[in-house]
Amino acid sequence: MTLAEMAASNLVVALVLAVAAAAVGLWGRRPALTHLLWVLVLVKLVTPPLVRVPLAWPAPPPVAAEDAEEPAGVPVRMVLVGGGAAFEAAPEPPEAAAEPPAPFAWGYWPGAVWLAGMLGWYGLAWRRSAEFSRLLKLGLPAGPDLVQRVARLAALLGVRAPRVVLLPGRLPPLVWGAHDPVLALPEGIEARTAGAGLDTLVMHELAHVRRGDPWVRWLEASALGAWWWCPLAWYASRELREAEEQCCDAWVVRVLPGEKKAYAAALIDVLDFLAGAPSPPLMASGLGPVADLKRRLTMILRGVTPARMGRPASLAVLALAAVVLPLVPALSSGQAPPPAKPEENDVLFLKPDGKGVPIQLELRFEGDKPAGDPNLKALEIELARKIAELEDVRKKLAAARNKPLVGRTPNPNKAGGDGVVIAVEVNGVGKREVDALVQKIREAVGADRRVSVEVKRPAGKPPEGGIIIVGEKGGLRFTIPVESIMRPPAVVVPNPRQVPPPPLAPVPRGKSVEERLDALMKEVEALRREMKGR
Amino acid sequence: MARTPRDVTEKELEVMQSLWARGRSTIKQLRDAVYPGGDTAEYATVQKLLDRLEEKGFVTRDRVRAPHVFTAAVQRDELIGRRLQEVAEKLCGGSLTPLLTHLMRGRPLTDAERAELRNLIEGDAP
Repeated sequence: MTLAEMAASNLVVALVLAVAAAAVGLWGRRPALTHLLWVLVLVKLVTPPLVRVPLAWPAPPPVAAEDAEEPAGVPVRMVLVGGGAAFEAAPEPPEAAAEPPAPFAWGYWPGAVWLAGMLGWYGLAWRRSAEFSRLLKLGLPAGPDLVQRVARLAALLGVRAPRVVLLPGRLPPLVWGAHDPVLALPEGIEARTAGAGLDTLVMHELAHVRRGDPWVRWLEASALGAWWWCPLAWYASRELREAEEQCCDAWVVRVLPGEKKAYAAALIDVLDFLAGAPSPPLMASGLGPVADLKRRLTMILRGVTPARMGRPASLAVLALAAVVLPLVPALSSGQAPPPAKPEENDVLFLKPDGKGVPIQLELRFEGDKPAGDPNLKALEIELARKIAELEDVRKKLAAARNKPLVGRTPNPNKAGGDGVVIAVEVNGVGKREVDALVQKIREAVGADRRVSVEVKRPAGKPPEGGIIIVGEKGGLRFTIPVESIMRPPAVVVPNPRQVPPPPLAPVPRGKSVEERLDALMKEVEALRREMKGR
Repeated sequence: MARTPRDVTEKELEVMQSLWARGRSTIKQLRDAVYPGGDTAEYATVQKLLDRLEEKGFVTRDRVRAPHVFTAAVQRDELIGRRLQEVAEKLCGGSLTPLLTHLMRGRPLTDAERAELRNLIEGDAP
C-alpha cells in the first residue's frame, strides 16, 4: 500500500467517524462522548491503517475472451535471465502500460508540497511553542493565598496541584504543558474575580488537567500538522475544543454545584478582560459567536450536562476504536487485488508499438535487487520496453531477409484446426537444452493437440545474458520452468551459411541505466535503418 | 518608530529583565547580572544587545556621563504581556498549533450583548 493509499483510506475512515461524532454532538447530551469521538477522528488521521477490508462494488460483467477488443495475436512470454535490471512496477493491463511515469513528473508535486507544508508547519509550531514556554518563565510565582486556593480545589477534583504563575498581559487562565502542567493566571485576577468566581475559573483549568486535555493538544498538533491542508482536521480540532470546554464546564458544575451563577458571571468577566478595549459600537454586534456563549452559559446554569461518559459508553467507544482504527477500506470488484509490489516472476504487459501483439515480460532478478528509486524504476521499465522493441525489429528484419529459420520449420497444415504454432527463440543454450525445451512445450500443450515448434537462434548475445521467448497461439497458455533447461550461456557459433543479422551490441555491465538505454536505442535505430534499406 | 515586541530576542529579554530589576545600570553592571564572571567578550555582547534595544526603543541611554547609563523605556508588563499575548494568539486562534489549553477567547462584547448575557444569568440561575 502506498502512502497515498494509506492517506486516502485514513481520510475515508476519519470522515465516517467525524459524521458519527458530529451526529452525537448534535443530538447527544454527553460532551465527553462527543469529545472522545473527535479524538478518535484525530487518532485515525495520524495512525497507519492495518487491516484491509474490501467493500463490495458492482463488478462489470466479465468479457469473454473471444469478445474482447484486444487482438488475440501471439502473446509472448519473455524471460530475462541474468538481467541486472531491477524492475519494480505494478503489473498493469496492456492499456495502462502505455506510458511510464516520467522522472520528476507532476504526480510527485502534491506529495512534495504536502511534505513541505507539514515540515514548515511543525517547525513554526515548535518555534512558537518554545517561545511561549520561554515567556512563561518570566511570569511571577503566585502568592501563598492563591497557591493554597489552587491546592484546595485540586484536592476536590482529585488531581495534583500544578505550579501556578501569574502572567502580565491580557491572557485567559490557561494550562501549559502535559507532563508537568503549569497553571497560568493573569496578574491581578484575584482583584478582578474574587471569591467563588475565581474558584470556578481555576476549577475549569484543573478539570483540563484531570481529563488529560494537555495530552490531547499533542495529538491535535500532530494531526493538524500532518493534515494542514485538510478542512476535516481543522473542523475536528474546533469541535474537539468545544466539546472539551463543555466537559470542563460540567466538571465545574459537578464539583462546585452551588457556584453556577458565579461561574457564568466569571466567564463574562474574563471575556471583557480579554477584550480590554471599550465596547465596540452597536453596529458591530452580530458579527461574533455570542450565540455560542449563550448556549454555553445556558448549559452551565442548567447544570444537567454529565461530566463523564459512563462505563457502558466508554466501553462501546473503545470497542469501536479497536475495530475502526486499524481498518483500511478498499473498493473491491470481487477480484483478488493485484500484488502491491511485483516480485520475481511477475509479468509486465507491454506493447512495444502501442498496438498489435502484447508482450508479457516475466521478471527475473539476478544480482541486483530492485531499487526503490521511482525514477530508476521508470527508466528500467523504459529499458524493458526498448528491449521488446528491439526484438520486434529484429524479427521483422529476419523476415525481410527471407532466411530459413534454424531448426524445425513450422507446418501450418499440421497446426491447423486446434493445432498450435509456437515460436521459440533461444540463445546461449545448446541443442540438448533446446530439445528439452521443445519436449516440455509439447508436454505443456498436451499430447492431444498437434504442435509445431519454431526454433530461432538469433546471432549475437542478447543483453544481460540469455533471452528465451516462448510464444503461443490458439488461446493456449502454459508456463515452462526455464531453470530446468537453462545452463550458463554458451558461446554462440552462427551458421556460416547464413548472413547473420546484425548482432546486438552487448551492453556493458556496470553502466548506468541511462547509458544502457541509450545503447539499446542506438541499436534499434541501426536495425531500423538496415531494414528500411532492404 | 518603535518596533513591536516581536523583535526582542531571548538574550535581549534577559538584559531587559536585569534593567527592570536594577533600574538604571551601566554596561558593566548589566554584564555582571546577565553573565556572572564574564569578561571583555561578554561586555561587548551586552553592549551590542543594548545598542539593539536602544535602536528598537526599549531602552534609553544617558550619554552625558561616562560610562553611559541605560534605563528601560518600556515597562515589564507591557513588553512581556504584549509578547505573551501575541504568541498565545498565534498558538490559540491563529493558523498554528493550539498547544494551549485555555479557558476561552473572544471579541469584546457589546453593551447589549453583555446585558443580554447578564439577564440570562440572573433569570435562569436558581
